[in-house]
Amino acid sequence: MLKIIFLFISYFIFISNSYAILNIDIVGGKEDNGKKAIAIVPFAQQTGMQSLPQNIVGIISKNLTSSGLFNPLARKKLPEQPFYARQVNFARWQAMNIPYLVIGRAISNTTGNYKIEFELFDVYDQKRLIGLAYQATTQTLKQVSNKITDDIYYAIIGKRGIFSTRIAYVSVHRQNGQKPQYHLSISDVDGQNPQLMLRSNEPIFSPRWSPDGKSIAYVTYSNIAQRKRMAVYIQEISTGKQILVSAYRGLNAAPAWSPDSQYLALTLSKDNNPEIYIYTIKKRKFKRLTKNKAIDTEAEWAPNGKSIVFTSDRYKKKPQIYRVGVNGGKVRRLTFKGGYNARARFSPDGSKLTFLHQKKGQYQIAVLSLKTKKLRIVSNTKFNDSPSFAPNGEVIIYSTGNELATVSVDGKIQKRLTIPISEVREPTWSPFTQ
Amino acid sequence: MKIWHTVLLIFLTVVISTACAKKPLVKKSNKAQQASRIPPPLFKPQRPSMQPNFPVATVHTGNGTSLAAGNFPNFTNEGSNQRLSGIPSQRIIYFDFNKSTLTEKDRKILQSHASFLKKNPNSFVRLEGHTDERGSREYNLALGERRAKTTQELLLKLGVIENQISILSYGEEQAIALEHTAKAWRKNRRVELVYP
Repeated sequence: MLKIIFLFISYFIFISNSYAILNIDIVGGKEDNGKKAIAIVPFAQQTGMQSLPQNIVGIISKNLTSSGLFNPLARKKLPEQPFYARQVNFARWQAMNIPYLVIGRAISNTTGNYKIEFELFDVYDQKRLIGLAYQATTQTLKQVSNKITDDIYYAIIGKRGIFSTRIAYVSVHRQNGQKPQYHLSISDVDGQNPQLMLRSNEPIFSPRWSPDGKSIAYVTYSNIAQRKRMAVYIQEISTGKQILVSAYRGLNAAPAWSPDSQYLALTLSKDNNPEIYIYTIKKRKFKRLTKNKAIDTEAEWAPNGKSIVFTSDRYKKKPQIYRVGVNGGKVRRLTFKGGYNARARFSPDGSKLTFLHQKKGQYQIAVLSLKTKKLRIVSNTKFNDSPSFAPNGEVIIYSTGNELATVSVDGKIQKRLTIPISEVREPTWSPFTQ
Repeated sequence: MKIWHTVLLIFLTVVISTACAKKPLVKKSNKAQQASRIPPPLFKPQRPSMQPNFPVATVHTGNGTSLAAGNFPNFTNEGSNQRLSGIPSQRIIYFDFNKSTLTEKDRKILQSHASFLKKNPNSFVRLEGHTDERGSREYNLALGERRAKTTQELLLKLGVIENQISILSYGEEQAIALEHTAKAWRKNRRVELVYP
């Protein structure tokens, strides 16, 4: 009898605790479809100052909206436009159910040089969460706006934002009667401000941004020793300096950086068959990792540096994802659903893989949780390829047909990137900038 | 090199024509030659030289510092074009989806190339492997190579010397047909025999 009473009591305690957790969550802020309301008041400008060449608040609002987690208040609905903390009337914002408020100021003492100050408030607690000032020039105003977005995002969500990161990708430019031109370009994470890094008449493949942010590895074709060969290069972003990694007979493909940027895993078929090799960059030495007469390619280093996942069609000539320790040893198969799983990339925390998964003749982007083995498909168009995670692990970028798209890891928020070029593919994400 | 060729050609022409004029017996052998109908020599049109890759354009970081353009190392152009006559006209072999096996028709085509290569030991062929657009771009590079390798294996079996063959895969990159249809994909899954 006592046992039953005991169980009864503990059951209620358990229930009430769970309920309490739910309660705390709701009080946190107004959620509209799960999005947080936030008000960003236009920054005040120093009297007599020329208008800012960039709309800082516009950029911040657009960034926060694109994350899918925020719902910035429309400008015309702002009940007041304070720019100093003492001017803020918290009661008015509370009455509108806006939990977060951003105000700011722009000061310019010399032409083209600015000081941008902003403050973020928790409206219900009537407390300032952060207050920062940035120096900016006309050229760096957008970058500063992105940085401010990162600060706001981190203060509210508790995770690093990706607004200051960049992407690199390959694009194809065709003109009638001429060989197509290939470009390797770097742009802001929203596809704006593309900058050319490499231009070639030969295809460019597999760009990979190094974890230290300094270089991009890629594959192209070159005439070396009087033969046209596939070759892997590393190019330093700031100097344009190129290092030839390998140009053996056959495949030289699919480079993948180690987390410390000291090694490249790559695919070579110089020993008669596509296998994974590990290249020590400083010593210029190759070490073979796989030994199987199947195709072994598309290496990807685990974030802890201890293992490598790769694509192999060793089982019935059907590509699947496998895992092996960096020092060799037993090869374990990771994908068991479907007959085609290829091109895997790790999430930054090492808990998930994203890869290409064939389902009913279509090629979709899938996310596999390595612990629970649950597989989720996050794309919804027919011909997708080249998925990779953002450095905060919240978003996946991939190519869909001839465009780039991003999707949140849970599959709910989809976006197409508007890049002003028609054929774009194989995106790679930069690491966090600091 | 070219000037010498021309000079030699002219010299030989002169020698042979004067020689012919002096020997009436040559008439008989001329008739024999006409009976076998040698086709006119086919010279492959000059391929444009491979362009070296371009240096990097100026790239700006967010900090506003201007960055240097890179210098791409100079590569030598590919070896001089071969002047060959009688290259078999069928130079494409097609494959089924995700397969790299050869049909009887393919074998016949390759047989003619093997004969040509054996007769012209200074010639060489580049087997270029291709796939259709579906699936992973990187995996398709390996698949394209596998098709080229299968083709190479047959040529070697037919007696072609290894040095006369090189392999290059383009994966899904050089589609002949750009539509997203099964018909287009069939045209793209191929190995091309290129005599550079």
